[in-house]
Amino acid sequence: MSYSFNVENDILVVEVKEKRATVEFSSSLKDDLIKKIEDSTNNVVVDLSKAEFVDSSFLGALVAGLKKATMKNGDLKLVGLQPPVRAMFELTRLYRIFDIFDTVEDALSSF
Amino acid sequence: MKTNKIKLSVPPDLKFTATIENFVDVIMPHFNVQNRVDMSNKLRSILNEAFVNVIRHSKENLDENVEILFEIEKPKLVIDFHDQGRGIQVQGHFPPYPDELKSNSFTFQKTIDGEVVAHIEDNNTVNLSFREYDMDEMSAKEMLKNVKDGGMGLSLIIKLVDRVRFIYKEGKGNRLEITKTFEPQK
Repeated sequence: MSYSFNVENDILVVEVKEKRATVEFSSSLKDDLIKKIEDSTNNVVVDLSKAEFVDSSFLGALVAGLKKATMKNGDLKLVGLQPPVRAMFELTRLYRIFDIFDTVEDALSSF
Repeated sequence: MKTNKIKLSVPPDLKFTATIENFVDVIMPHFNVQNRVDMSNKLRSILNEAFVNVIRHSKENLDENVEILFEIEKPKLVIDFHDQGRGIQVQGHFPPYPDELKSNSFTFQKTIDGEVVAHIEDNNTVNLSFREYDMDEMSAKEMLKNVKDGGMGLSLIIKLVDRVRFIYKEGKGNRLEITKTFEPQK
């Protein structure tokens, strides 16, 4: 599986397990993420520390998750952006709408 | 300067996206660039986004392989993605575009930070550019309201390269032509 879900302190933690976070699994991630947010938690942390490359399709899945979470008065926060990944958030200006942290612990304690 | 051409033919299936991205390692050694790692990542993004765009927009002809032509004309790289689709739709028209659209520009897509503008160069050619919004004025809340979870791919390509055009040829399909000049190492 390219990603996993865990719940810590009522917060959904999504770990992306691939070096390429891309179109091959972005739509299933989006569907799973939306469903999890609808069914239970409204706060999410996505751990991207293993990802070395992201594409716009994957970014779209994160945006969909953030929109869903904020609709339920929650938030979706990001963790562990490697330089090429960070560059994509800057290029798309998406860093302006996501809270970004260095570690999962930092992100969890920010809620 | 001699132009070297390398051609790749790929099944129109998203599972080949990584295969195309890996062509970065074939192409980049031909260019003498600063920040090789950064440039390689950018080229990887360009190849990924262009291929995904072509697959998503050539739905009606998914039997035919996508032909990708790399033209190396240092310091310029031209990448052509050729498919058998109908081309891109602007103002409700597929190419050949009616004369009244010629030399005009239209908003093609909106993203969080601006809009993709389609300029109709001639009946068969669309040039794409990106018009950035003034982001300083916007709060994160406003931006979140406008952001969509799709349609970022083309804007990304435009931001990373010098020129993006769609060129249609009757009976020969559609071509996404991407031109990028790599500043040579000093």
